[in-house]
Amino acid sequence: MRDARARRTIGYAAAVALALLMVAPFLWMLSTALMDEFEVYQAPPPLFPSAPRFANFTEALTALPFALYFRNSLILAAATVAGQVITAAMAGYAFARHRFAGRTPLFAVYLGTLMIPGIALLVPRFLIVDAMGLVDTVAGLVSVELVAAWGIFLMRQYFLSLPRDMEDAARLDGASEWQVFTRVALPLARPAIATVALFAFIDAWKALLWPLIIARSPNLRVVEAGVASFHGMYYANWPWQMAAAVAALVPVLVVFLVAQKAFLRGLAFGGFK
Amino acid sequence: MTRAEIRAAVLAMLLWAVATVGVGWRTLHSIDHADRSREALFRAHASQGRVPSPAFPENLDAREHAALRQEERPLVVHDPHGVEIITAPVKDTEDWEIIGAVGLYSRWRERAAPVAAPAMVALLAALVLLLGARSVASAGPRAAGVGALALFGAAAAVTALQLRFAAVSLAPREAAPASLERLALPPPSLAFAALVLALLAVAGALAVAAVHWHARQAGRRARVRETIGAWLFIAPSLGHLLLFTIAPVAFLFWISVHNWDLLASDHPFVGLAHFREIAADPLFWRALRNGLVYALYVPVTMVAALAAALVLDQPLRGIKVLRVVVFLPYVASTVAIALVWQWLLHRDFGLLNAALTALHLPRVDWLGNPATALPALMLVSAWGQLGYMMVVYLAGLQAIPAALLEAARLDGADAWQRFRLVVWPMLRPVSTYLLLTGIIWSFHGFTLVYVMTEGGPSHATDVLVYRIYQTAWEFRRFDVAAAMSVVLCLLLLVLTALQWRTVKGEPADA
Repeated sequence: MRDARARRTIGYAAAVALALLMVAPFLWMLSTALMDEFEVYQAPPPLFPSAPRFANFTEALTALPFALYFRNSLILAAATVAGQVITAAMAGYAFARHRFAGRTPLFAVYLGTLMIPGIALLVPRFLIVDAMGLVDTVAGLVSVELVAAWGIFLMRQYFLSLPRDMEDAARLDGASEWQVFTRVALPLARPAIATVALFAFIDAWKALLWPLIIARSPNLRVVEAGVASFHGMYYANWPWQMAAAVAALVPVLVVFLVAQKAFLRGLAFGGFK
Repeated sequence: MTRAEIRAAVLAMLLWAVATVGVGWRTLHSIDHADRSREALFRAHASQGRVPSPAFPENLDAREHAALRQEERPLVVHDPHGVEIITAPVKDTEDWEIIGAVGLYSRWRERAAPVAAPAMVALLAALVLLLGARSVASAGPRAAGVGALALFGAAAAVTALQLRFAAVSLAPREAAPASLERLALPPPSLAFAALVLALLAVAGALAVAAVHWHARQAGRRARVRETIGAWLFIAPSLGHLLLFTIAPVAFLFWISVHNWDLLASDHPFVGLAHFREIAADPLFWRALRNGLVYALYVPVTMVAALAAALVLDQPLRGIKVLRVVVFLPYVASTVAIALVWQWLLHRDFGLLNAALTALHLPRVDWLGNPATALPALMLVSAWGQLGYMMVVYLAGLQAIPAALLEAARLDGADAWQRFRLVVWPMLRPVSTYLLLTGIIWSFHGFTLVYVMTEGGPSHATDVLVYRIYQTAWEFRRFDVAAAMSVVLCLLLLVLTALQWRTVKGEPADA
């Protein structure tokens, strides 16, 4: 009995320690973001700002056109979410519900694309986008991640787990295939759609490498690239850098906290991510 | 299929191939003669010793002009009549400054229609041969008409695209006024023609197969309708996968054995020269070795995660909050994480060194010292992955039947024995999965290196992806970067194949 209690105590201690370990860098980010530019240069550094300086945020975010970067990031994220959700729902539905000629080989092709590491395809993808004249355009920025094979598989699995009765009933009532899909199947698949959308958003928001190579003009920079170049320009001003970092974090953290259920469902689905 | 049908099919394919080769050659050759009059104008200019200063200033608006001067790449603009012009910058004799632009009327639209006609004839002939006139007739006149129209459309579209790409890729990219000969368009690249022809052939074969299938389905309209509907549902994603995943794989391997200079329009075959070059490049091996060392953070983090999961594997209140918290690094912006860790690891004012000082330990120049830079990045990555791995282990632990542990306890096994003989074997699939996924992911790492160290100091944190990035987008050696990508691709393919073998069956069920 005492043994059990001791174990519980150790368990809680470990849990708290782990949580602290995970959160501390974020808190330190926030704390530094509120410090004075020269206040940070002390050894040992102060843990809290002597007087919170919120001006850091406005100054840092206007030192470079961050409003523009946020707009670009939002466009990228919105297009990625829309593209992945629409294509995944449509293809996943077709694979789950329809028997059609060519399904098996096509499914094998889709499975095969899961194996291909996208990171190794940077060069050919860039040259293809270049040949289409889309380098340094919004279309080029959003182009490569509009479809995610893993999302198609998730949607397919989800549709397979749903009963078909309601779809058949709608068909008997004279609904067209498209109506069956949009009015009956899609509303039932909302949880899976939320999962696909959430991962699409997080991935799009965190993307750095592709936006970096596809955007030549600074006007097309996304937030990640903006913060990275900010880091190079204001190397010595840590409060500003931390303020920019916090700003870059906020949207994705908010989305994650609101939709963490969908997140855990996605993780349970498997490790494509 | 009967033997006669097989023979007919082979014959049709041959015919198809001949027809497409003819069509393709004809279109590509016609580009060669693009706009001789324009060229003559430049010759006249040059003979008078004048620089053919911007050829189309009146057609370029300010933004386009600026883009052309900055970008040094072909730009598609439209003349006042809306006809497309491919422009390219002209450099001075020293190949240094851009002094003007040349334009080429590509006229691909006008050229597409006449060459699409023979393609359609070839298709129809192939169709009749393949299916036999009887089954085409039995498919009904309407189906045959629609099929023919669709095939013509496809042939026209593919041909138009082909011409468009040919025109863009053939535009002169470094026409120096001193040697106006170079304004003459280079001959079309054979490899490009082969690629287009292969695409045409595949499209044709698919079209023929589709019509063949349709004819066989006579009388089963519901099945035909369902198939067409399903393919329409799949078309958007399939199109994207073909263009941005499947084609790039083939293209990647192709580039890796050819010369690809952005400024040259021909891409000669060079065999394995790029691979020999990277094999002789110590920096490539350095990056590969760094990547392998870097991947070591995965097993180390797994051990820590398993330990944490073992401690936490009990019904604790508030564990859900913990589950959210540990995922923060996993979802957070990687650049932000890179920045805060760079600050934490700061040599003079970082918290980590402050803690070391407090413990009377020497300071460490984490990111400035080649010996510690890579371990520092591994530390950050471990921090980012620890929570995720722990949660996965926790789920694995909770899936172990309690009866099994109870039985072991009754047999007199102590805690360590229970772990070694029951828990660890039961967690084996989870561990393998985490290990392989983690290693695969470790090879994707770019942001930390890009923001925190830029591969330095003295290439101590240079990893393969960063090497590829630099080689292609800083040194403009796309072909060498492609060769490196091939190595990376194969490496990751092997790891993924291993991962799938351990998961067994569809990954979707993992």
